[in-house]
Amino acid sequence: MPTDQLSITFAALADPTRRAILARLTDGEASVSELAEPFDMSLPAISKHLKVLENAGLITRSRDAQWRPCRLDPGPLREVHGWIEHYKKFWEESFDRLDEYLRELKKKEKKHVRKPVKK
Amino acid sequence: MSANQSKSSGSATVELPKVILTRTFDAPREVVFQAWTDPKQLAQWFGPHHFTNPSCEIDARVGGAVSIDMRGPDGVVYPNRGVIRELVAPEHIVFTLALQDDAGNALIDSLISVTFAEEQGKTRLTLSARAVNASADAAQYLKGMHEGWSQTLDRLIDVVPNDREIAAVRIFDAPRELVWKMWTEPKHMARWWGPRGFLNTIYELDVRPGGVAHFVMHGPDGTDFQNKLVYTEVVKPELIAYDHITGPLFHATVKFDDCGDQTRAAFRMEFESVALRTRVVEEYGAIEGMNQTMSRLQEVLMSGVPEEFVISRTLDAPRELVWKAWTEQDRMSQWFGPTGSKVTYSKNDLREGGIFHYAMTASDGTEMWGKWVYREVVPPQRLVWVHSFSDKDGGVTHHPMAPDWPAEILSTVLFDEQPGQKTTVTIRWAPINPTEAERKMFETGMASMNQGWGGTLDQLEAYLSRS
Repeated sequence: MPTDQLSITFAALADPTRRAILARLTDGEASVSELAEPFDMSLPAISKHLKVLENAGLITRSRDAQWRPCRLDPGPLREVHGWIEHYKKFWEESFDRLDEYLRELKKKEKKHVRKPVKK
Repeated sequence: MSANQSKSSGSATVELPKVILTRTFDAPREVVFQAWTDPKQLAQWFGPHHFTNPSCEIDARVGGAVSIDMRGPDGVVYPNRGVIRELVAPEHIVFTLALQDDAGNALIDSLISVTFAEEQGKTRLTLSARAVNASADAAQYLKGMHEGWSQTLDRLIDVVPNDREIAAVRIFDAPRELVWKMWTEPKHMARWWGPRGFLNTIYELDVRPGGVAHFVMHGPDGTDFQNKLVYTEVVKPELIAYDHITGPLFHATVKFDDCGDQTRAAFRMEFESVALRTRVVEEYGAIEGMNQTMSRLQEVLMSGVPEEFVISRTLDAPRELVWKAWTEQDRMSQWFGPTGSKVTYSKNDLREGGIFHYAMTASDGTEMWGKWVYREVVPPQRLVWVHSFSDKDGGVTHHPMAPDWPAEILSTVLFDEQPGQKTTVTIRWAPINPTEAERKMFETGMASMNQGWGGTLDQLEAYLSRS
């Protein structure tokens, strides 16, 4: 079992049902039965998914209200998003720099070509 | 079709049908005859739709044994056992066949006679299959005998090409929907298309009638091949037909038959002329190439089709220059890494098996070591290496922040020449022998980058930006 936060979050996000639950929660808090509605799944099955999300810190469940609504916690999600963005950014910015570098190289080459002509 | 009656082993009386079918195949007798007597070929077509033959043996001589295990779409295996009674190549063959259920109980004993007659270069095949004995449980199998043999002969066509054609049949250990995806999604198709050693840059894959596919096949020796297709018929997930409109010209058809958790794919290329077909086979090794292509697809399917990370960019510079910028140490440190980062080298040995060991210092001062072990260096077309995180001494480490990030990633970079002195660079990443946890983490992360988790990521991203 993974112990670091990032791996735990990724493991929780690996399941499409759990991702759909999170997407639903972006509209605001919801009860277990509300969350179960779009899926062809039993309440215990949904509860299991919620447990995984809760353990990963992706959702919190209120202790006050009797229906214990689920709420999205953006913290771990932000960390995962940052991780993914890092790789995207790595190559996109590298490509930008490469593009820029190649442009300079071509400029220099052109100058080299022109010199003898000017003489 | 006629029927007589027989007392079966049980008390019930069953009708014993006789099936007679004729078909004409646009292929020489020898070719059609061989499809019946070569066990490898026989396995590719014998049996009705949705069936495969996990085991198929035939000892092609009088008295020789026939042993075919037929697997139904539900995974149930039906053994067929028989003996060859007569065999005159390439004219006729007579054999017995006892069909059993999966528990080994006899269902139907048949006598099968096939004649091959030559008709103006084509082959007229006549099949006679007569049930000579049947158990009381065989009623439904007897009822299906005619249709079963008819479908069986339909499938025989798939392995008997005419002299302008090349044909191949493959059984893939994957459901049909997945095999379909492999043929119709660029990121998947790029991974297996072409003979061994070929890589692909796919620009367009518009799989619908009238749609165009445009891709470049990169040969292992550095030669690039432009390919353009126009799809003529697309029936998801059953059939794809297209015209190959860059040389060599041909029409291709791929049929996918659903065999439960397996898929039977029948591939056929029809060339404009016999001469062109001969040239493609003899000069380009097209048959071997097609077999290798199918084997690669099988391997990709067996690997569980892990997600890959793919990113590409078209740069306004000729390919030679991009290659230089990528492979020459001083040039690479000018651009490699995100804005504000700096690369320093321990070594860069640009050859197969050579090592590039570097430190990247981010704009915030954090230093990370990385290591590439080059697998393929083909200037100016491709660069393939195994990437891992590393330490100062060049050891392989895990990512310090994410131990479940794959330890080794196969990185493939293709440099494809574009008109107007431009170059398209495509980078692909795939984890190497990942553990289950590594595979999950990589796929979750990469899938989100490639396709946004089917829309959910967009919603989550929007949420993050406003919370």
